[in-house]
Amino acid sequence: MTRTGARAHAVRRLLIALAPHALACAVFLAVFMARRDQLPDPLATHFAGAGHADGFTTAGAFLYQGLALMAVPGVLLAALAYALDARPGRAATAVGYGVAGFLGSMLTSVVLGNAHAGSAERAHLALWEPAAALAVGAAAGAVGWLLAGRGLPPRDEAPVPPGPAAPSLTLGKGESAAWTRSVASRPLRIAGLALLAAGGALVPLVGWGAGVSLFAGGPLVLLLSGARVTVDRHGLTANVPGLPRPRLRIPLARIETATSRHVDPLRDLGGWGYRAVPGRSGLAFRSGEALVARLTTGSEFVITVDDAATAAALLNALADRDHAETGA
Amino acid sequence: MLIRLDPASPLPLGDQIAAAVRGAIADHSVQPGERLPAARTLANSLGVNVHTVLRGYQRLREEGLIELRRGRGAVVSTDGAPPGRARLMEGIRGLVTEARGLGLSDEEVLDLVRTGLSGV
Repeated sequence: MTRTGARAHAVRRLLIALAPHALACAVFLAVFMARRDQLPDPLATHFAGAGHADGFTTAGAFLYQGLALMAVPGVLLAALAYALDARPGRAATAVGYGVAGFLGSMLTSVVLGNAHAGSAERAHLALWEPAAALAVGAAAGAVGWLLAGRGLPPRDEAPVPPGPAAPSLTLGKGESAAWTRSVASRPLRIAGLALLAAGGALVPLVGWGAGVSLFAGGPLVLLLSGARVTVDRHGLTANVPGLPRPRLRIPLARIETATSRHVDPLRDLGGWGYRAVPGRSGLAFRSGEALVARLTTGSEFVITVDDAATAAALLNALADRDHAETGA
Repeated sequence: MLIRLDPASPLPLGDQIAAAVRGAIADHSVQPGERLPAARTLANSLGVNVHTVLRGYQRLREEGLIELRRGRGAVVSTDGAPPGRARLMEGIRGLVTEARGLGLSDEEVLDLVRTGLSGV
């Protein structure tokens, strides 16, 4: 695929993902503005089982809450689809459309119900209205299903080629060698600091219950935001810098070959930190150069680390020597 | 940081470790302020005695490239521009090897260095 072609597809993906949420927001906003004069303030926004109002929100707040409720998931889903360069599955697109359709018609019928009643206390939500909203959601979902099925090119699932001849270095008889390097993750460090800050802000605001788990999570994420990666006669090891444990170790006997390759955490491993996806697991600290070990089980173990080519060459040499010694 | 130990080399194992770490400091693959692997861990990786690694670290400390602190282990110095200093030490090692190969005495080498220093 050409560069402009890929770009056009990315924009198309973005538009398809955004469209239902934008449409739902537009309809809700248009109805709200058209009936603004007839709306009570505050509005009835929560209804008991029998359809009588039992919860109220000021008109201005309801407008913004309604828009946010529909826009935030839309923007998140669209950004994810764009950033991942991945085809959101047909089902995922349909669910996005369905949610937008349901929320849009539900919020709109609340506005219409309030406008019709004239006062919040008399506002009524008939049982058929949620049912109608569900129907609208289902119809929107069907549209999403059709759109996702047609316009989007199939994702090329070609497996990663085995790459050029695995790098190796020549180890003399009796020569011992080790490679070690530390790696730190800026995204994880920022996430840890953000957790600390969020926890610190929440504890005085809402009490210990909600804040303390965030506050406790911060140091944990910070502690695990870096690693020392070592290749030696034991195999491939990653541990928390300065501490012997926790650590991950792949023994030489389980390593078939190693290479270095560019790795994108979100796309290749589904995120940062210790990740596992089908056929691949590993530690992702940043995007870029990574040591990739193909295991005897056929799956891959990945660690993003600088100078991975040297590490791969040594790992290959050590694994070859180990396999020769054990006769494997 | 790649460390290779060749038991057949005339260079003692501790000095081979020091040379590898020095090279890593020179080419920035170990940053100033970064902690080096604990001597015990590195010894285990390489299959050598802890004292061999400590001898290598001690040499780097004498060269002003790392600091050894009780409880904190070996840390690359933050002042004295370690990468440049490491390259300088590599140059000095080369000079010494060359001079020994020519059969020069220590005093003769120092005289030559002094001459070089006064000439610039």
